Amino acid sequence: MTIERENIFDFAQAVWTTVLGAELHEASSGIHQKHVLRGAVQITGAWEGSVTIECSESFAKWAAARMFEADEATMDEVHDALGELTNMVGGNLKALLPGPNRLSIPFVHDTLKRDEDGNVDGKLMLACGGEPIVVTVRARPRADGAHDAKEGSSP
Amino acid sequence: MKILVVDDSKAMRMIVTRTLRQAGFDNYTVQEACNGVEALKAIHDAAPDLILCDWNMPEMSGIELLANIRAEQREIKFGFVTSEGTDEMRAQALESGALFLITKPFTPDAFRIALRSVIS
Repeated sequence: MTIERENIFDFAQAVWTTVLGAELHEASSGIHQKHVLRGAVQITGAWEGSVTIECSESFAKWAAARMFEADEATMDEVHDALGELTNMVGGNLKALLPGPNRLSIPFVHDTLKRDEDGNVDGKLMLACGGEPIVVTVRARPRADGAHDAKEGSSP
Repeated sequence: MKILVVDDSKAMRMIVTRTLRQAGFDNYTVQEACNGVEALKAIHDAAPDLILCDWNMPEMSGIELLANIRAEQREIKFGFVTSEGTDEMRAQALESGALFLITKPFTPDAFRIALRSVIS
């Protein structure tokens, strides 16, 4: 299934505005840095896959400082903040996916930018204050090669 | 009056506490716990009047914490503050004895509306 760009944008914008007091805009390009911070939540159940948010470390530090109302955040706080932003966007997007589903605890890692396995059901390139943000909804490949919801699942 | 904020995210615990203040609930003592297990310890030490709790946490989830509190026959007011707000979760929350479910991200208004009838 495909997640509409408008849905991803609306949920991300609501989180950014409410939590960070900042606006998001759609962007024409993604992240140029080789290293990114990636927040991820896994969704398991009738639909299996992940919602990820990728951004630069500098943006994540800025966001964490906003959330903690601090001049500077520690790296633990940076990971906590990006994890919670991912949890909010992922939790809201989960409601659009075929259920019932479970949402994992968010996790964050510093990683090389790369494409992971799985079918991209929704991807949006955004920018906040000139900093690129990428939100991706990705279904986990199934053994039979399909990517969509399991047959026979109830909403 | 004591309010216990339970969330595995330190950032979110701070935001919930800040939002309580912004919503006008600034004369309350706020305690924090990072999961259901820690919350149970805090409850045993000094029972709060109200618990604002995340749903999805390691060690013990919010719904498991609520079940434990009710199993101990404690009548502590309980509300969820969570990123997921499906109809099924709202129904499960209410059936389990929660008074409300606030979805993240939230505004001070959402807190005022949910807590007005709970905190007199």
